[in-house]
Amino acid sequence: MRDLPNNAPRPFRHLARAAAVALVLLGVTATATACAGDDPDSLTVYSGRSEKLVGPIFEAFTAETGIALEVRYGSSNDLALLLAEEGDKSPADVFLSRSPGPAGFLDDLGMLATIEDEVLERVADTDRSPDGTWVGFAGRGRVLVYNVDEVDPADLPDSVFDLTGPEYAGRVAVPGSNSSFQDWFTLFRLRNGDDVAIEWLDAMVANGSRFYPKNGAIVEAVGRNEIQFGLVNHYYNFQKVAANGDAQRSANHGFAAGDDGGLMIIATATVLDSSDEQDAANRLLAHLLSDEQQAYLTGKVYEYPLALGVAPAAVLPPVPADRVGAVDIDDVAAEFTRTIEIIEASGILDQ
Amino acid sequence: MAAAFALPGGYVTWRVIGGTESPLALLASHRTLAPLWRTVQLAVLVSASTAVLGTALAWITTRTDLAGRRFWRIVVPLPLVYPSFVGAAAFISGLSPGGIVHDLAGDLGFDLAIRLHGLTGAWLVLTLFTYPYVYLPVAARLASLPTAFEENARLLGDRPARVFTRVVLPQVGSSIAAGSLLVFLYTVSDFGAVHLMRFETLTQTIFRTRLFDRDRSFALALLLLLLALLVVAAERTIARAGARRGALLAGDGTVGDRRALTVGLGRWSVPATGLVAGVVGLALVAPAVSLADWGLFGWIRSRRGGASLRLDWGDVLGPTWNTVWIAAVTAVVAVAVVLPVAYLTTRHRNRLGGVVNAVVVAGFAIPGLVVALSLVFWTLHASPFDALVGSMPVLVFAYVVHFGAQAVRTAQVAVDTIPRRMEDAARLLGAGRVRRLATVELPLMLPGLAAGGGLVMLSTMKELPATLLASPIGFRTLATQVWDTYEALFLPEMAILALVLLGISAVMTWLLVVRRSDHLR
Amino acid sequence: MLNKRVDPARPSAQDRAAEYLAVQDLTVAYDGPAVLHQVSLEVAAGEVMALLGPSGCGKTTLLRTIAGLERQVAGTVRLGSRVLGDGRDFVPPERRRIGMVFQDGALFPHLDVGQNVAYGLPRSERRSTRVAETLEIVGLAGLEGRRPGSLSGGQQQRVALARALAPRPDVLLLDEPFSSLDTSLRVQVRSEIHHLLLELGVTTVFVTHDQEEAFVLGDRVAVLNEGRVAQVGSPDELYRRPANRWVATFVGDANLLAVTDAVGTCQTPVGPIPVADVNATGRTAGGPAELLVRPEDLRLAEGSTGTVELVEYYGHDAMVRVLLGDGSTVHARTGADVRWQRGDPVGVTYVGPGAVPLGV
Repeated sequence: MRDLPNNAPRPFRHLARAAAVALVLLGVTATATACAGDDPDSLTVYSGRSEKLVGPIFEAFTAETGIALEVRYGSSNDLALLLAEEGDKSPADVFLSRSPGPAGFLDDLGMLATIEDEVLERVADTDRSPDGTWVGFAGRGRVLVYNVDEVDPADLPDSVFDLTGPEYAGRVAVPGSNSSFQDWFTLFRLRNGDDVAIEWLDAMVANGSRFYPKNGAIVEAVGRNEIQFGLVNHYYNFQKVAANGDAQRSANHGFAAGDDGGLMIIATATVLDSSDEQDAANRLLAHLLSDEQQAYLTGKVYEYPLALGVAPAAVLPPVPADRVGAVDIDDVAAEFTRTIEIIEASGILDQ
Repeated sequence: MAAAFALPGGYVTWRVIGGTESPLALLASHRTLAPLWRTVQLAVLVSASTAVLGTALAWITTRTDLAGRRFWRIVVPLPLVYPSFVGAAAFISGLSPGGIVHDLAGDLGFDLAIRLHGLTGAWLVLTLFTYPYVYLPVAARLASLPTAFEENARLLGDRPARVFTRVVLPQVGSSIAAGSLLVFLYTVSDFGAVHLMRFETLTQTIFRTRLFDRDRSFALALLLLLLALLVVAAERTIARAGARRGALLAGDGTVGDRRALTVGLGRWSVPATGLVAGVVGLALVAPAVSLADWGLFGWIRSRRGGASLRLDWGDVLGPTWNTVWIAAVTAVVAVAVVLPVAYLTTRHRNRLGGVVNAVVVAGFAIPGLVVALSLVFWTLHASPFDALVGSMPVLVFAYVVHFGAQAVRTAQVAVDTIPRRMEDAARLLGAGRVRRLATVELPLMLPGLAAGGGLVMLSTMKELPATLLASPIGFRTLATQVWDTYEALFLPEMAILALVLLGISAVMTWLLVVRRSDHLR
Repeated sequence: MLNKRVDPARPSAQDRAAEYLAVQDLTVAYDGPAVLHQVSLEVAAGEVMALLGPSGCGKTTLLRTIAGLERQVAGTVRLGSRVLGDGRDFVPPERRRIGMVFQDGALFPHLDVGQNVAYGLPRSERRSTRVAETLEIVGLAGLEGRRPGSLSGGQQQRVALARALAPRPDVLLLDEPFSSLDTSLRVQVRSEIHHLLLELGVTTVFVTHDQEEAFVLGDRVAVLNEGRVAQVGSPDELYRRPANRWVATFVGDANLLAVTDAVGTCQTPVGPIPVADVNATGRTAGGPAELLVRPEDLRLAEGSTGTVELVEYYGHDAMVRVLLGDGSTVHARTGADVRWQRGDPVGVTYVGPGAVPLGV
């Protein structure tokens, strides 16, 4: 039969009403919990580091201070975007980021408070922002991961510049789109100038270096000898070895001290300017940088401790001399945009 | 209602207009056009291959005497539940040298020297993980179709293969189109698989530039949305033309009037079983074996006194329960929300219906991150609602806006399947609008709605960015825990959580989709 | 006895007046041109009215408009003293108290037989004995628990009838209720339902394209053509005194013999035929016309009016086609003992009561 405009069904008011009621009921319970954030005895943390890594640190903080922590975990970049969207209505007091990039992004938006000197002074001045809006609390080193069956340790390169040589043709993995790599490349660029950086990257592309999206994927690929070398964070190989033991056929190699290939990527802690709990927030940062938690970070999570006077775990490669933050970056966003442009133009992402 | 679905689009447009760079200049640059072309290429390929695969699997599992059909009907839709990054990662590492699947095959004498990446890799992985978008609606449609036409055709001497192309295909055409559309939109919005396969699509560029080049990122998101709208409109045009052609066949046969006709597979039973088992093996079992390999390794290691598993019952049970109820609630709310849209668009075929349809369906093409950000943006700027930021309703709302599209087309098909005479009969027996809906239309639409709700449910269970950003703080689902452990590279723990996710998906698929669609048989 | 148990709503004494269900000047149009043009029809209380016509004539639309499933552009539908719809006001179908049986029954496949029959009952009555009673009436006692899908076509139609009757509707509408049944079953179910309708005395309107069905079941028959009522009358009236040539041929086999002046007794190729005074529309005969001669009005005998061209044997009778001298043919119905064979010379004579002249 034909369509019957006159007899056609009317919208489902009842269903809609029922759905609305359900939503409101859900909302009441949910807002009740959300209100707990206003409790002066609790802090809200946005964490770009995974719960498996920093969760124990938070638990220890609550046990020590009685201050409960409400934590939203997520990718650092996503959380930074969320914070930008929330603006001064954000419930967050503290934001932990994998690298200084997202912190710089928020700093540019004027959303970060200045951290107390006492906290800032726990680390070397290369490990904090010059204006005191972020402080590093753990480091991951940029290293060269290699396949232990295919590569003789004696042949390992001293410098990242060696990787453009013929003996590495088609054998090196580059995580061109990875944010840690981009952090490193930005610093590399600023220290050596754009011309040298572009020349190096183009030479890598010409040398048949392969693009992999993630550090973890590179370590896996190297481990199974899909490729023999990779520019990665040191951290991944430790986790792989922890999981797979001797079956993991990859190892880390640090470039020679002072080489531009080595770099420390700093995980940063920031306090939101909109937070009403500046004191408690600074206490949390101080806790992150306490000897005990720093020892946990290096001993259990295999990261480099940044608090002065805490030694890195013995199994870690030598501490890279350079770190993000060592070079003063005026306009973080502009520099990272430039980095992305160069990386895209090089064609490495299509390799 | 549709306005709610337009929120992400409105947000993206607002951001693009408010940006400092000219959107046109951004969109026209080669940096934009190359990923756009790759996106279209991939989406078209994946849509086509899933259409074939999903339809074949649906027909084999509903219309033939395939052994163990009930079992297959539960497991065939399951690959949908792998979060893209987990599925692709497990898939790649399983098939690569050192991976368990590769090594097992090696022991059996096969050399799987597969180097999956780029277009081919992304195509294969996405096809394997998204064919359920076609399979579920087509299987639901087949389950509710009268078999009379097929029987007639058989009696007229057609062989099953001919019956399939001449009779079955025209009847399920709209369901195939609906499913392929979802696959297209999923592919366009996918991040995980293309990322791991090193195939730079629009979404990849959006994610890469999201923090340091927000203008471009939003301009690309808008481009993605426009592409989606275009495809949705095209699909609707095709579907309507098809509906006109298939009207006579599809007719309004009595729903599930008899036991479905089964085609004896005969000598084809081995290839058919091979196809179903092969697909399930690749898409479901291979990643699961890799996961089990990782998980088991970690468990054995901890048993032998090595590093202990950093996972306790609390890490599993709480997130499992959260996953189950939020997915079920979202599925029900999504179906309730899209049902009026389905009625509007099928019973009133006018321009408004077309716009509403496009807006709702295109929401699926927007990356979850953008959906979550847009809802935070709008709730914060809609004064009485700003208290709701980070609450369950906003989370459910975000899921519904993002995934409602998956229920829309199956709901539309379901509405279309209700014989008009059933409604007429009920009206003449004195039943008003509400009673007709509750006692006649909903029961008749149940298989279709359940299939749509099932898709929403499976998607919700694995959704990540929206869950991480829009959920109440501290709300953990299995997907967030899988992601967290994956980020920390705690692979054994990740594997165990992913297997739990897989297990409860199987249970819920059985409860909500398979059992429901059998209900009318 | 049946009446007492079932008691479908009986029209009040006042409603029993000639027009119980009245349709006046009804015009129905979908998006395009009108499907029904100013149709008027009156159905008396307890009467069974058949709507007969070729497909596309608008008979189903008329039925659905009475039910309220379609809305008229103009015109009125009245039931007793209630106006159900008049172009402005419109009583929705769920409040019309009209029962309807659809072509294929349209039973709810997800409900069992008992639930189907109880569907139209008020909540309080759904668990009463009403369901069982009604099922018994249609001869399906005890099948409450069965699913519609497990019933035969004839049983499904009877369940549909029970479902329509259970709420005691004021009017029962049947939309080609037997067309989905096999030929043998159709006749059986038809006479069962015929019997039932007479027993219950419920006012009924039914649609059919089958002239035999209309004549067997209908107290009166309305013939529709191209959206207009061509003629309303008892089966006998329609058959014997059709209003025009179209009705004459549609309701039965007809020989149409042209004459120059249809008055008195006319000479025709089959001999002299007396002309009936008036046709059904009351027009006085005279002038050029065609005389309607039904095959049973012709008798065959020895003779040489023509030659037997074709014999169709039906068992209870036979139809013989005779080629006449002028090259035209006539059909004659004979008894079952056919003595003629193809090629035989044969004499044809008119034995009817007088032929109706139809305008040319």
